[in-house]
Amino acid sequence: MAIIELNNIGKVFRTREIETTALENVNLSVEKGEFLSIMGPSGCGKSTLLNIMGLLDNPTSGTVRITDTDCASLSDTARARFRNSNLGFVFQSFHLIPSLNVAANIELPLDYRSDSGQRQERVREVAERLGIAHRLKHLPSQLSGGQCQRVAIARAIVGRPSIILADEPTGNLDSRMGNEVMDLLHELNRRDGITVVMVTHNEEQARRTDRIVRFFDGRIIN
Amino acid sequence: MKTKLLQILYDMRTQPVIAWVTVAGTALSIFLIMVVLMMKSVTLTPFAPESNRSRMMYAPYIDVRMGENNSSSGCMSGEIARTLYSGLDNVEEISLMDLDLSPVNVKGTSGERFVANSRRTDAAFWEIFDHKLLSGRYYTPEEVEAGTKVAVVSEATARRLFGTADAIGKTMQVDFVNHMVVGVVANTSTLATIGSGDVFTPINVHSSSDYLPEMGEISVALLVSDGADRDAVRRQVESRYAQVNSALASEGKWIEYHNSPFDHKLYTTVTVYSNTTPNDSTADAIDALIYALLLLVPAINLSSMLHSRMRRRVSEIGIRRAYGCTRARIISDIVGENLIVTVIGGIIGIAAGTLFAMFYDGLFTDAGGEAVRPALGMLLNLRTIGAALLACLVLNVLSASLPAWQAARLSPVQAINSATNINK
Ligand SMILES: Nc1ncnc2c1ncn2[C@@H]1O[C@H](COP(=O)(O)OP(=O)(O)OP(=O)(O)O)[C@@H](O)[C@H]1O
Ligand SMILES: [Mg+2]
Repeated sequence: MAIIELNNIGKVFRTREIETTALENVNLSVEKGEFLSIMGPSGCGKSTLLNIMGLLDNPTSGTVRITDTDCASLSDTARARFRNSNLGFVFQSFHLIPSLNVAANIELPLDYRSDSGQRQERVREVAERLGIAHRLKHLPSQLSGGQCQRVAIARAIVGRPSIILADEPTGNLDSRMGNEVMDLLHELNRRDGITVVMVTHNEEQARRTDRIVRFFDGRIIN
Repeated sequence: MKTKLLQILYDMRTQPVIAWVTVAGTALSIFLIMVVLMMKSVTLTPFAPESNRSRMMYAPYIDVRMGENNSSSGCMSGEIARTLYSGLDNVEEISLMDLDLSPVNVKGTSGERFVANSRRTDAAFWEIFDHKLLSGRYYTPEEVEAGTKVAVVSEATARRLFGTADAIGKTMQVDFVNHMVVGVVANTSTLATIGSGDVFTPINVHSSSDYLPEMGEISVALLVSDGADRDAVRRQVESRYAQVNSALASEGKWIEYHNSPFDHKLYTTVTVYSNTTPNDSTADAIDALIYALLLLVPAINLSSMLHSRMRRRVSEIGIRRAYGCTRARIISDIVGENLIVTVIGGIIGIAAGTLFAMFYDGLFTDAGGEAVRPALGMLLNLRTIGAALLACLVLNVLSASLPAWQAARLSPVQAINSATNINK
């Protein structure tokens, strides 16, 4: 069963002077529990597609269905709720909140939920699982890059989403730390059944995943 | 709440200049608002010798017209003052007096000649205004009627004139005319612009100008009864005007009615001219304008400061949105966080205002006589502090709304990818 379905997605960026077509007629469906990687040269539209899947951006044309919900019809607030309960995000440059300590960063998605029970336990649980429990009181600026990305992954899974969208999650890490992060993502995919869609420039990493989708100039080419 | 405090502490560490300037700017503007409020309460809150402020009305002038382009306006003759204002319903007492202080040259036995604030009044003045008689007596209606050369002086003036407060029966010069001191009263603050004075002497209640008999040197203060309808008082006065005018018609003259007598607030807030009708709403408009400026100017500054604090957090806002934070929540969080900063600044401002009210005399000191501080409770009461806190709130909403809305307006991707973001 497809958990993500993209139909005829097009995306045009309009600035005052120029129009850039970032995506053209993209059709893609991702199965539940799949680990998919997206590859392609710089500027071909990978991040744009991931943002559309993550309901962070709207396509210019086409439809997005996630867990059988037609996302075009959702209001801004409903999208926020939907992201909160279904999606986790991992970015190349971590995007932790610098003023919050590790525990508060991990807790972030739970701040936007009404059921507030057992938050501390949830945070501790994922922190232990990702090996950062001893860093909970630290600020992001006091952590290494690998640790930062673990915190970001902890934040992505603390709300128990069914999908993780990762945009070059190892792009800022050395190969040893990059491999650790990849192992984590594979474990989350296998053990927890989380669907993972990852953008990567690394062939080796991509080959470990279930399927590779290749992009060129805003189109899928395989 | 806790995370908001943490954010503020973090801002203070990472952007100390902006954070401190924000707090200091808020404190300063709340302080200024408090000072203005205190000055305002000095003109409106009753205190001796103007304990009856809420019941006072004033008729300073008349405006006599003698044809289209011929008019003369100023203080009244004693007769006109009585005709227009004595025996009105709901008016307990009137005083024919100087509503303004004027400087006079005085000299006592100490030999020093100096300038003091003089006020000429009738005897009813001492019933309307609650001066504190330290020794002697007030001058009597008979003395006023006869134009007897007697004077009541303040304690400080007595000491300066005679080297002692024991002045009863002694002779002093008021503008080179000998007067006998019959009473000594406690010093009063010139903030009581209508009741205070250093030297009080009987006014000529029969004064009348040679050139225009309706005019003279009299103004009128009226004490109305509790809860009296002031407009009803004015309607009575207006019909008195009509009577006077029908008598004057044969001479081709009339007295233009300018809605007198005026309430205390109007008379002490706006400048009242002798030949125009003062606008009641002007007093309120002036107040509103002052408060608006006092709030708007700092609000614009605080707003731009908050804007630049927010610019460093655009990508954070993007991440929060990605994880389910709604636009409304972004706005309420920013406004709430800013409220904490404003309240911290406000508390500092209120503290500074309090110290100012307690220790700074300059606001209440004047050139002549002794400065008399109004009671602290008059300056610092729940109303002043409540108003200052309300000002904090308004300042917060004014300064935070625009930056908060701008921050919430961006789509999550735009925010996350914003260039001003500092990662990690
Ligand atoms: N906000 C925007 N406004 C205008 N053009 C944009 C915007 N975002 C992306 N683009 C353009 O859209 C195209 C696709 O960008 P995208 O970021 O999706 O590429 P990418 O495949 O993720 O590249 P990379 O591998 O370098 O991250 C590029 O040409 C880019 O310049
Ligand atoms: Mg990209």
